Amino acid sequence: MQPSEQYRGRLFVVEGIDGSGKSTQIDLLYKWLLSRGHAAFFSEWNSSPLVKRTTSRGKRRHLLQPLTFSLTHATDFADRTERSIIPPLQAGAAVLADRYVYTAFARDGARGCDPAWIRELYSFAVRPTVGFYFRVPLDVALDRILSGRPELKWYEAGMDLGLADDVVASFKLFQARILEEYERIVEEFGLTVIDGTLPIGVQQQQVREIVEPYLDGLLSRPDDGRIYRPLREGEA
Amino acid sequence: MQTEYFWTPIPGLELPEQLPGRLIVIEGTDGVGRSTQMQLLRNWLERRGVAVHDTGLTRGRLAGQDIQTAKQGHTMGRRTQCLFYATDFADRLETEIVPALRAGYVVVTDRYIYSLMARAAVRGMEQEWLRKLYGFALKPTLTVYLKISLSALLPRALAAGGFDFWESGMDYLAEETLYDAFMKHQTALLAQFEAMTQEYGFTVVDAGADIQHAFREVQRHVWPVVEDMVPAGSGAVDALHEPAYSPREERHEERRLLSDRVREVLAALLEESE
Repeated sequence: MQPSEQYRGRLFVVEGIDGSGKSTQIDLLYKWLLSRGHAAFFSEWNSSPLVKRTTSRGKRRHLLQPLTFSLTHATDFADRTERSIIPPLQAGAAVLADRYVYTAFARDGARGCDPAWIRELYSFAVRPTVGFYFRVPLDVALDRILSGRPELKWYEAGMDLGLADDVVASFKLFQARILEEYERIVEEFGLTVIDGTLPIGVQQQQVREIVEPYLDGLLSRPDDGRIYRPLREGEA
Repeated sequence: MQTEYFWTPIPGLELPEQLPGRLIVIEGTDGVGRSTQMQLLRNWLERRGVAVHDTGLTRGRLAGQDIQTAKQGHTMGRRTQCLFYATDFADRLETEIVPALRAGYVVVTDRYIYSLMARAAVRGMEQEWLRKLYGFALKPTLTVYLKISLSALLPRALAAGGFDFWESGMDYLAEETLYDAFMKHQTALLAQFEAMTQEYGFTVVDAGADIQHAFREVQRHVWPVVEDMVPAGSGAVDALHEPAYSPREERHEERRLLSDRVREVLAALLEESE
């Protein structure tokens, strides 16, 4: 990965399995940074409008194999990097990413892609200033997801892998695989682990304390009294 | 053919050590005459009783259409563009090329990873990264590189309708005119192909001369690769020397299928043999 020190801005990313609470935490971090007067920029997984059509066509029609699944996400990530990660970093903003390359490493790894190939594929990515990993036991995450959202999508549930005929059963098995991959990745890339079972406020306190030392010299947000809403395309 | 990858296998795809088909790649820069050679080759092989599947870049069902749309708007970053092409290539490899090779077809493809890598390299992508990225590609049985000099390419580009925006690299070059950009871009591309000739063992065919001459060369190189696939009794010995014409009664049908340029060559070959 490319060093982030060459940029004036800072890159903070959150990772974890579905239901780990990472999106809640980065949302709160985003608002906190703005309230402190920093320019903050939000970047999400699967957010590139350009690649979206291809990705959704592939997913809708179940056209994607592990290789093409991996490559469509890499294309999306490249667009994100070229459009909404590197330029704001150059400008001096705090860039917040909900899911980053580690999501690809974990998911594609769980789909049987060669780990060495995936890491080479994403070697153009900027290394985050801090990469948070929200660790939760599998049953806690599954309970959070399955109790609130019963409609699981084909690829989300890992149905393409033929792990089980039943969507929920497949989702559980797939998440277990992803969790295993994540644990390896945490070691390999030295991610900062947050206990995702703690109360939301306690986690946020920890996140802020870790982020704080990196905030000197960031670009300020506009001070013209207008309310700027972040532009956000579909959820991951 | 031997199932062999450049670096790493396609995930989740179990392939036997030997595939019954053959993979023949026709490479070369824009306007060198690849599609003419493709048509001639297909026609010739099918006359010999060999099942041919032909394919080319950016025709995939997954991303092909979106690549074309995105090109209209020129909105893609260079790395994004490169990965978009890679996605489409991967899809075509898995869902079209590999199944045809398994079924015993001679797959003839109008360009392969080499053109994709050359185009990306001149746009600043790292060679090492490109080779890793395309490491999942199958090694072809034969790669015919249609080689041409810039001075021979120039009149062809003009005759074919002038300089194309993308074929002149106008998306990344800051040249004032299309002509300047074309010269610079094609020089850079030809240099990439030149460098790959050794590395990947291209079979070089001089495409600077006339089409017939180039096709004779293509035939000469393709024949040993497909010889064992030709049905018995097809007269293998003189197959190479037989012109790629069709019997008179079928020629009407042929006319509808082939482009003017190909028809011209066929007519010339026919005349020559009579």
